[in-house]
Amino acid sequence: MLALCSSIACAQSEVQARLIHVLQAQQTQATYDVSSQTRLSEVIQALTDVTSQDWRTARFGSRQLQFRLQRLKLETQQRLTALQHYAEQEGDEGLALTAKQLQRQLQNSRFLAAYYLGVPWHGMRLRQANNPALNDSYGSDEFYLSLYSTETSKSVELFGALNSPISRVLQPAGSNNDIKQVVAAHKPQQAANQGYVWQININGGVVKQPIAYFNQGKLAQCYSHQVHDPLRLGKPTDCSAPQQLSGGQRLYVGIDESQLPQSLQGINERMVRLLKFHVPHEQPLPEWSH
Amino acid sequence: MESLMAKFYSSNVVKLVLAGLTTIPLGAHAQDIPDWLQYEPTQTDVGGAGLLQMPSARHNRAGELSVFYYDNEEYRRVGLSLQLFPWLETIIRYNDVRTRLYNPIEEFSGNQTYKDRGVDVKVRLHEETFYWPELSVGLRDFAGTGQFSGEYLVASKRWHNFDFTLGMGWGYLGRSGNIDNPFCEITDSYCQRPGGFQGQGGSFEYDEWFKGNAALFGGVEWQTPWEPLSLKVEYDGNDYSDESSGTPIIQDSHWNLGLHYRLHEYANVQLSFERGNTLMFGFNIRTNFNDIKQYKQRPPKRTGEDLDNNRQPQHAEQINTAQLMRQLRVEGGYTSKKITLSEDRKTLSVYGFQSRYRDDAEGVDRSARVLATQVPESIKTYRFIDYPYAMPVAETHVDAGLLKHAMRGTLIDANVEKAISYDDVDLSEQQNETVLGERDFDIGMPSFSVRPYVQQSFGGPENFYMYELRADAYSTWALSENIIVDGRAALRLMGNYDEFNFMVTPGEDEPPLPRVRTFVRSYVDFSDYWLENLQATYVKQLSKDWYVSAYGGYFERMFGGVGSEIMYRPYGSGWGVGMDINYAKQRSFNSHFGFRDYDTITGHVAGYWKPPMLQDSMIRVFAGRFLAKDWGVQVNFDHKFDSGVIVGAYAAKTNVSAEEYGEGSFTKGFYISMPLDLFQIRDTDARANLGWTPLTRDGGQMLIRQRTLHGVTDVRDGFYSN
Repeated sequence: MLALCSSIACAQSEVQARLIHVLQAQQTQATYDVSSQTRLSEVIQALTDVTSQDWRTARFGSRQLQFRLQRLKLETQQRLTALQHYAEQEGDEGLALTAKQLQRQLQNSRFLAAYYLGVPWHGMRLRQANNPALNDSYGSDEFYLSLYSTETSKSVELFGALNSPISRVLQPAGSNNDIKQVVAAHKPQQAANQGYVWQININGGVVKQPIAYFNQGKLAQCYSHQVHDPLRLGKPTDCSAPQQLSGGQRLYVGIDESQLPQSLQGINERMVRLLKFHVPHEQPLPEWSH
Repeated sequence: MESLMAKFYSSNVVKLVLAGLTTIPLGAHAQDIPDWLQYEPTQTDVGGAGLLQMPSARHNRAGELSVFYYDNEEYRRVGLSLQLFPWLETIIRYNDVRTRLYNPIEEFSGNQTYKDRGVDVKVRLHEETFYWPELSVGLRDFAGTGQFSGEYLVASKRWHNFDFTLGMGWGYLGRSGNIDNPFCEITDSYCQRPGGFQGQGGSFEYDEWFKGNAALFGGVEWQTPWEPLSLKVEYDGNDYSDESSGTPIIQDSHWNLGLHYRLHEYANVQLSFERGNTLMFGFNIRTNFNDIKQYKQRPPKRTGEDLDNNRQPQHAEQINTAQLMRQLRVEGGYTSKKITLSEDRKTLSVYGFQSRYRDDAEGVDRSARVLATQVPESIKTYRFIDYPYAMPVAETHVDAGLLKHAMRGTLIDANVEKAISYDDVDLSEQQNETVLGERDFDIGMPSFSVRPYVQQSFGGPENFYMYELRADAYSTWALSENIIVDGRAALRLMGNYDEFNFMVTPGEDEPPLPRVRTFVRSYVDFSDYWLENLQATYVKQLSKDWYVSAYGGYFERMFGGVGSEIMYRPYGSGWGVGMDINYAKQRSFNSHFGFRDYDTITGHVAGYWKPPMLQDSMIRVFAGRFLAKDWGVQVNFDHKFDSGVIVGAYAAKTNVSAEEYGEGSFTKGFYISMPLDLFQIRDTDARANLGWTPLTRDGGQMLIRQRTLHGVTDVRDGFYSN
């Protein structure tokens, strides 16, 4: 363990200890003690070569935030179970199958909650408010900073009511990576909402894209990532979004909720709130994240 | 065909438009127009989303406003279409029947052609899904003379760049009767459509709806590869053999063909060949009330760096309150009356009101940041008490610790929004407060300002557009903190209200109702300058939920008197009730300050409600006695868009019969309230109102007065002030 405090000259007696886990691309982890007054930029400057980072893929989160995300995951799984029971009672095999598939996707996926999805390195040094100290209102005593490589940015991952939800390697730049064609190629299931796909960007921004033959070209709904309340989706705004996919994005094809009872609606938004924090299997996680 | 084209090009409208096209680049580039707009519904010839003559089931984005003009040989149509909610389209339209005079008596309406007012609504029943079409039901010209009224049920389904529509119409839309009316199969009363209209027109002719002939209509709109251009083909369900124009309209074909071209993001043109023999041309201008924004020139917000660099006083008594009040006004738009400290010295309260920022949260954010940098660290809570007329009506709490965390970034999940909460006022907290600074009331001099003012009305029999351009001098004088005198003097610069013909010499040809509003021309003829109002208002808070006012003076141009109002308005509940009673005496139109003999007691019980199922909307209901001594109810509906624009409609129905009331049957109208800060880079909470009243008559008329309690206490429910 490296006592980072000594390198940034903080008075150990005045501050609480913080553990910061730095997750590296080479499957390595390192843990450091730092002062709670320490700013994120100081940690970054002390521990990494700032010129060689891809800040879009960097993440910063806390242990307590991760606990809240795990609770959200548990609640979503319970809702999916309720949805599956409802579908079985109604004799809707397609819906039951999709609910089961979504549960399996959640079980097999790893999530790591983050305040920052992409660290705004170049802006954070200009103003204190954009350069947070290692503190959150949940009293977290452990934080992590992930500085992965950019390997994931060459592919998109697909989730939801698809017959073959897998990672898909994108065509080379300049080729056709049309979102509609990618979704169609993976065959939406019977219970899928075929009118829209949720597109989750690497920076946590979410776009509900109209992709069907009847609504293509219409405005999408955009949800921007909220650093101060990252697990919420927030209020959407009408927006124009590109139809071409780019690396690191996740696509989620939701359930058609229009015929579901009120109590079972909202599954898609919950899934998207979780998928914002999806972490590929090859990337390391802090021990407490499981 | 050649003669048709010649006729088309010789019309004045075409000349005008062609002249316009020479200045607008005809080859509109697709890249000038956002992609999404290419897939938005286009307007019909009569306004509203649809094909040419026929509507579709489509709805625009909420807030979409189109002002349209269409022209052919028999009719000119002008109006506006507004998408009030995602599921509700509303249209106001004037049909100018070019072949008929407004009134056969030339002295009454001169050579003005007949104008038929129409109001349409379309409601979405089902939104389009993968397999199911969009489904809507609509009423055309449902509160008019019935000459163009019709009903329809319509479905639309898009397939890539083709948008197909199939519907069934009744009334004006179904006169060809190409299909049996399905309702007639159920009950005989639907087989025949009663003719004419009730009373003096303007009523809801619901006993006609979905009756009589029915017809199928439909068509397709194709978004061509030449992107700003779309092509429309429709089958028209109307039969034009018995038209309001009184001239034979020959229908060689039920098929109509049109081209729609987006000239620009905000302008469209449509050219069509209809009925197999007629060219139609139209254009519309669009905007969206939810999207309108304006860049703002604002002082920078205080930051964490300001917190660290400012030396804050150690004790509250060391605060320079005069300087603090000035900073709050300059940076936060907050006008402060006094600053107090709680008994435990942990809460600082600022009494005052927001006087600049329409967005209350913006003003609080800025003001709270000022306090954070100017008051001691020991103060943990800031309270902003809304204190109009020295009445605490609402308060805003700011968690100083959380605010500073957000400003400094010392808690990653802290932001200013989380530090601010809104609440009812806590009167008990005032009792043990220490006053740190207070601005003494100074009776001073009245404030003065002069502003241009346009009064206008559309569609009158005398002239389609009647207006008055004035320079109005406004004055406000506070005699005490809760006694305010408002005055307004008007100077007419130009106008044509003197053409108003409803001028009856008193005693002769006595109308059925007292003339409370129709002496317009007499007032206009009297003088080019006059005192519009001069009213003193006393306002008092009885408890935090109860308010009362008393007032007197010249309320408005036509009435003066005295009155009182009481209101119960629980904080944040979305509703309130009130009552007002007034003695009103009619002002003279022969002298500046005198009165006529007519007087009355008028007043209403009022209810206010923000329905939770209709976001950003308010319903106001007034029941009681109106100015002409008629009894009845006025209902107002207001809806606020994201830009702050409020659109409203009202209707008053009293015990006056349609015959006694006259043309229009009852009082109704529409209005738009525009925040002025949408037109300038500086912030202001002022608004400009634009009204549309089809006809001014005497029934269902309310007194106009200054400083109603609903407005005074608006911050308790934040509709107009947010």
